[in-house]
Amino acid sequence: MGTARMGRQAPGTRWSEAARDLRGGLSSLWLWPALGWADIRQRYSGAVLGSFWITANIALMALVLTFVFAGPLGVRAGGYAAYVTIGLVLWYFIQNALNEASNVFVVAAETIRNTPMPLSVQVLRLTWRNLIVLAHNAAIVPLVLVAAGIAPAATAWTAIPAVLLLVLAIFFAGMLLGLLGARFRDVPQMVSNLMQLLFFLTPVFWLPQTIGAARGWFVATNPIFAFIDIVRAPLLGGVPAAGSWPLALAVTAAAGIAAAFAFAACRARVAYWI
Amino acid sequence: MAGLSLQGVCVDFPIYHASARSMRRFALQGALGRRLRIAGRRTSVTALADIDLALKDGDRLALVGANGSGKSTLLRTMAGVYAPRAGTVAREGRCTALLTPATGIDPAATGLDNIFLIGLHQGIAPRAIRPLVDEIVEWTELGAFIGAPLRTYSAGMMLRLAFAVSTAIPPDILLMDEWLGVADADFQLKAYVRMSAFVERTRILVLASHSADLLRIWCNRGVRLDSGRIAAQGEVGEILGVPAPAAA
Repeated sequence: MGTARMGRQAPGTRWSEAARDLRGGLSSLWLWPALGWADIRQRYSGAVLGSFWITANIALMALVLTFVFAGPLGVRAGGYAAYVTIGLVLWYFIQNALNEASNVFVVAAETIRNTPMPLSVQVLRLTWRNLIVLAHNAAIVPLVLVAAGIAPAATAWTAIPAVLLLVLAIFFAGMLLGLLGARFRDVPQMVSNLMQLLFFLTPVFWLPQTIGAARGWFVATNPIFAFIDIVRAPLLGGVPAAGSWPLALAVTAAAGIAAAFAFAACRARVAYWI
Repeated sequence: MAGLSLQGVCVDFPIYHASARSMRRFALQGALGRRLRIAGRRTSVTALADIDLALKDGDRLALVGANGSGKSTLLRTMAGVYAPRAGTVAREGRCTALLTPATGIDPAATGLDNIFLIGLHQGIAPRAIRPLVDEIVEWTELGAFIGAPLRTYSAGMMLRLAFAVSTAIPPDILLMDEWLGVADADFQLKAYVRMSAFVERTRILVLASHSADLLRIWCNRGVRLDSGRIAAQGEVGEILGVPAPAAA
């Protein structure tokens, strides 16, 4: 059954076609950034404050969480506010990108069915669009750091490769979820439900040490926490947990390998599924 | 040098979900006949079967056939949208597919922004289209409307804009599904003039249309499709002269 189903193309052809698609996508530097920007313009056209709403929402949420939790957790309000703000900015990026990813090929159905544009362009466009929003939201981070009196530490620069690794992981995960969502239409609902649960299960606004040693494994194996940790800890003048970088690297590598196999296997079928 | 060749191309559309079962019952009664393929638990409809075609520089191919005979599917397969179940498609040269006029438009954006958006979806970089903007705006006769959101346009105005952008830069291979029908007579003539100049500069043209006049003017070869198979192929006049099969 497996061979009959995938016998539509020889394995070698499938890999070289997938590689050609990805090369075509990556090299179209005039295309996916422009499409990403157009998406942002389209989303906020007519709104006076536009994408400022997301940033304002994150700032207000950080304010409310600090108001409620800084006391009970017994931490300094300024430090906690910075912790929560960076956590929320990163969380918003991850959640939004993954939610959109499960629909990425379905919403582009018209383009995919009517033009020879490489499929990978859609995932690059999604990653770029979310990166723009991340950069926009990140503008509040230095403000909060200054307000909290946190001076940049010598290790703060490691947040930059950490963000780049996160973006790479989002691209791979986006490809995987996009292919899954194109074939199985329950995936978008499933992902958005899961993300809601993960928000509470991930130390975005609570501190990892408060969960207790018995359940510590849960934080240590949470890849979303690993990505947040490697960006957030150096910005706050600390160092990430020992397992965070290895876990983030391993998850990115695994997602990359899975995405490559899935893309080679399913690329030619997407136009039929959507 | 451009080229487009199809060898033994078969395209099936998979049928998922519950509809597959009723489709099988339908097939058993003979209504869909040989077009339904059932392999194990998978059901699919054959859209194209055993298509052999080789096009080279200077070929202008007319695709004719009844509705549902596979013209649009063949154009999409040529463009690389649908990967064939069997057979190969080889393309050489930049390929543009004008299958629908509206691919990539954003109703909320201005006409000017949409010139770039339509261009992006046709594979034309913004820097390539920028020098042509004035010419496009002038040709469409949209005047001040070019700065207004596209949703304020009539269907005809939108079509004029999409057409002007799509025909701004000739590709090596042009695949086109007829979509000029919406326009008024005045625009049809204007579009015809622009289209002629555009087609002349492309190396290979494949045009699907129900208009025998249009096909006779622009094409030199013809293929008649029937139920996803090539029923006849040859010189365009000869193909257009072939009467449609009575069974259709």
